[in-house]
Amino acid sequence: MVSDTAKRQGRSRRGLALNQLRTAGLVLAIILSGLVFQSQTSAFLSSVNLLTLLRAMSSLGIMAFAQMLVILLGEIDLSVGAVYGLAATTVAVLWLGGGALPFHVPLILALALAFLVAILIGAANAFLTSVVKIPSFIATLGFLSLAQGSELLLSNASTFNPAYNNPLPSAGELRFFHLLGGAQLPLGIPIQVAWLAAMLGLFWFLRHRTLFGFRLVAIGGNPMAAQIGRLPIRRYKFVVFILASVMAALAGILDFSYVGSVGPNSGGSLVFPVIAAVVIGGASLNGGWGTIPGTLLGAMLLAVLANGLALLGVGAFAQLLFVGFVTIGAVTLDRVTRQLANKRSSRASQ
Amino acid sequence: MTIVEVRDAHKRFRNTRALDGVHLMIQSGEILGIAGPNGAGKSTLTRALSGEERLDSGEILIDGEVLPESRIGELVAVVHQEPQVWLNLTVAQNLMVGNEDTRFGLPSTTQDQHRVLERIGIDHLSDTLLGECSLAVRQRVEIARALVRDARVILFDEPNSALTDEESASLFEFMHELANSGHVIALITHRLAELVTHCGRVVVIRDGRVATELSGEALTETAIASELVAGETKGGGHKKKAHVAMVDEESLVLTNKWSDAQGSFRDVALKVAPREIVAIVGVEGSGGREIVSALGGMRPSHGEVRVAGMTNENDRTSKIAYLSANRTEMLYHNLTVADNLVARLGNPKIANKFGLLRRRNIRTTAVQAVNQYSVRTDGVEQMLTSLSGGNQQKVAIAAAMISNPSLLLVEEPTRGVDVGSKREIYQMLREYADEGRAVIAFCTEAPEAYELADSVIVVQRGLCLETLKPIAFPDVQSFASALAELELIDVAEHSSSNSAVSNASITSNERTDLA
Repeated sequence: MVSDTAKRQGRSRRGLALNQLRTAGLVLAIILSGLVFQSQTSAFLSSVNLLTLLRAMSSLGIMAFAQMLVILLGEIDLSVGAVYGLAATTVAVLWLGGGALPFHVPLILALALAFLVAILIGAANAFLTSVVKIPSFIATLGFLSLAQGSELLLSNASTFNPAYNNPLPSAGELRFFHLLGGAQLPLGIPIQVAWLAAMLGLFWFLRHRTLFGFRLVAIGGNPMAAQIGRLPIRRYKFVVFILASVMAALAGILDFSYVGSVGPNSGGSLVFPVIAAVVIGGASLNGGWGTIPGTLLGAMLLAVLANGLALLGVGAFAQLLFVGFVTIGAVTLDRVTRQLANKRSSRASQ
Repeated sequence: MTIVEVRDAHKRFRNTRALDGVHLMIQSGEILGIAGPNGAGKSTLTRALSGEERLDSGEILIDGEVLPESRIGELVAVVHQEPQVWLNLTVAQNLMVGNEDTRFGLPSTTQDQHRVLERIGIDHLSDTLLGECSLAVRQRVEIARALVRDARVILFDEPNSALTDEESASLFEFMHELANSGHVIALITHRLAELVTHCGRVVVIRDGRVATELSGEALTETAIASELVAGETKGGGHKKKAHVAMVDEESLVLTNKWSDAQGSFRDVALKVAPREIVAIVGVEGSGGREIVSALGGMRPSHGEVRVAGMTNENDRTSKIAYLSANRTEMLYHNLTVADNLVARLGNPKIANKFGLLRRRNIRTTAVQAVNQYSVRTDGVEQMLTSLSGGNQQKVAIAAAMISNPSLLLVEEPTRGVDVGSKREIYQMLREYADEGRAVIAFCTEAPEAYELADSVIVVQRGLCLETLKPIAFPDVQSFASALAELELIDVAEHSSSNSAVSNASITSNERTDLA
């Protein structure tokens, strides 16, 4: 009995250690790659560059937090990149006129409508997944294409630039729109970093401190048990898919505001890094496992690599290779350590 | 002539001895019956015989030779309750998988395979998708696959639990034919009548050993039944004497003309009083399991159901907690013990009205439950997976009890659980019922029903056959014999509505039937 207790304690402590090991490994990887970049180019660790890095990862981070909740449920949302682009384009076309629309509306209304579109797409994804019971991979793949197509049709594939638009929007609207994503806070902190921090807080709270987060983990961990225990599975799917779409729209609009213009097919390449960040952060695509701090670190590792490689002048194409290697490498490492730990614990219990 | 011999087979899983020195010999020409209570080691023995499981010690000889597992896998085939076949392929293609006979070209059916299909009587279906065929045909395909690779030994593992009467009859006929043509046949089943009718010899496995062997005159249902329960509640009578529910109390559960939407049970009239534990007993496919899961709202049904005064389905389900037989369906392996215990709760127990988690409440609720139900754990913040099977089962039941339902439904409350935990689980359920609530359990084992329940409803072919009161039996053996005798009763004589019923069950079966 005594040895039995000791064994059990050992096993679960090892499980805990594994979790911390993963977090520690991610922090280490971030620090190491930072040091490597610093040794190559002293610009990396400057405060200006670090703020740039954080700003550049903000849209990735915001989208990854919401995607993590989707993945926690055992689902996936592939449409977020397309929704990112569609939301920005919807704001541009509705507000500035042009594109396929013969009229235009005030900025506030355009923003509201863009978010409404995002909510509808999220709800449709959830409906197809939880009511019609189509796998979310397929449902959201369909909406990826639908959103991309709508964006191109709506905008006639043209680029929008509020500051040089004809007719020019009112100065107040222009200023407000610029402040959304392009403003500088005191100490030279970009406002997008503040958005990232706010969403980090919001999603951390949702995931780790509320009944909602608790039940997400339960539903994702064992949908059958959740059904037997009568948890509101369908409602949760709706909330989570809508959150994913709304966060994608927010990220798209903030980037539009920061860059000052939006062109066709923006955001199309974001799906992969968003999912990669979640998975590198330790979430399981089978559902039931995933944390917000992990996701933040996953996004940060990708951001550090993108920033450092850009500083080294490696070029965007080679960067793609790195992101691919890191994603596969991180997940492989995770799987191997987990198998080792399992093997050790089963040997110990024999 | 083929002889299979098992010598002193041992196999351990963690802390349980699944096989503890099994000796067994089967000859071609006979059908050997293997019986045993759940968890006795039958399935481990089956897996070892078919080369799927390596023994810790001991050996399996086929015609006097110890063979490597891969070779055993070729010679020994298992026909499962749920056939392991490909529903996306045609009947003929199913035979080809693994025996393609070509490396690059498109495989086609060989002469041999055609002959096997003919012999088995399904050659007219060879181009039909197996997914469109009935379960009986799928089972035949599994047998055919065994014959194609020239398997000498065929183990039937609860083969007819989901078959109609005609289908079972023709399956048994074929089983005899295989035995006569020199195959070694073993039948593993819970249905005692079939063991007596079709087997020349029956071994009863208990606690990982062959407890006894019955043949000839000694081979009767009551003999098997009392062997199955020997060793449980040794000589003890019914311990609970005063647990007769008050007659004047209003029933907690009432059903009338209540039937399953898919016909698994019909016209069920239940009446359960507060403080009562009712066991529903029946073999697989009898409809007993379905009665419990339908009451839990897990499958559609129609008719009158009233639970704690509620007739509306939504109001009703809030008064009921259901536990399925499969532990992995009820527990969250990614959560701690505490989180598992409170997973069915919500506002206001574990969260405030803004949805904020109340971690302290979760902890106190969990600690209290762990103490009350004596779950052995090193702390409620341990992961669930660190607990033993019996303690995990207690957590699953406790989690349902914490949500405080008036009616607790449990399928096989102690499946895969050690003897000590069994006692504790019966105790848990008894204490829960004693507080004015009711428990309905689906049981497959006579000792469980005897020890747990105030009344036992025997279900056969979708009909409630009889209600037994365990208290009226002096010991578990006599109770088990009474159950076994009930199994013999033909439902047709017992119920006048049966002729219409059995017709319906035949026509509603799959569109392709056996030739």
